Amino acid sequence: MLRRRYRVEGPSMEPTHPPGSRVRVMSLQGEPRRGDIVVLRPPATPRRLDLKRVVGLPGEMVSWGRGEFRVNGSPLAEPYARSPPAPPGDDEVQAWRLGPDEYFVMGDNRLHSTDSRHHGPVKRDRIAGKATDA
Amino acid sequence: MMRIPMNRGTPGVVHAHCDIPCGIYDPHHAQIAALTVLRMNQLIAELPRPGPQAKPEEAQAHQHKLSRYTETKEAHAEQVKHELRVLWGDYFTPDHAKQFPELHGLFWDAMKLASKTRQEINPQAAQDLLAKVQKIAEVFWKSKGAEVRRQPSMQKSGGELVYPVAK
Repeated sequence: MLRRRYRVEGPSMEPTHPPGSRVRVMSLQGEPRRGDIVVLRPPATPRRLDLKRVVGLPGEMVSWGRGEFRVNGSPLAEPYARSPPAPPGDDEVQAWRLGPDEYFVMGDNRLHSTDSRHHGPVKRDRIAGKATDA
Repeated sequence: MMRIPMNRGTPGVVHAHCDIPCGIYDPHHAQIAALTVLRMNQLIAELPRPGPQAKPEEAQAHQHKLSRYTETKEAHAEQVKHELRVLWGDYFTPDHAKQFPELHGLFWDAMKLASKTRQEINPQAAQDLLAKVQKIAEVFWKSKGAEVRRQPSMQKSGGELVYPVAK
């Protein structure tokens, strides 16, 4: 069962939702949209609720590397994100083709977040609700 | 689409999770929390007690202030323990323990003192806790090859803070 209000623990959604801040959660009306901040049950720890932002949608080719997130080859404008500068000489780029019911989620604090870059895309049925400022 | 039943009760916890070992540690937060514990003990000691002729609102104001100071004292004692657990469990290694034989004893004593300052109004325990945390801060920075200096905290609590000095 979801509650309506949650307290945020952890740094991965800074600066949007710093630790200790409160969010209001509601059931999703329709499908998640890019930019939505959602509450989800991560694949490896389904009993935990995580707070992340949807950045990749079903069917898209997404990539992360050199401090930049791309959708179908184009950089995504992300004014909300706190991204690390690309380390010199680090040219590694990882890419994912999202399935028909898969979403790519990341924390806004890109240097301090465990998200789809680590556990992979998230199935639609793992996304429990949408979060807004409390 | 699945509809999710909603609970209107107390807030739950949602994790903005990060388990990437960033390798960034700092004993400063533990020192600040220990200073706060000390300051709360001071404020509790300085709080005027309402006499037998005190008005109900004066007694209520006293209770309210005491509750706030106590809650803050306990929260920051727990914060000290949290910060120390991270340093002890995540930063320090067996090689550090060989280099600084007093390491485990310092953490053990500090954790016990932090619990004592939670449980009691005890300015001496708060002073002792700050002293242990300062020693841990010194060991921490020395383990990174830095010299350390102590300087007045410049806070109402008095006391000192330990800072690193690059060689």
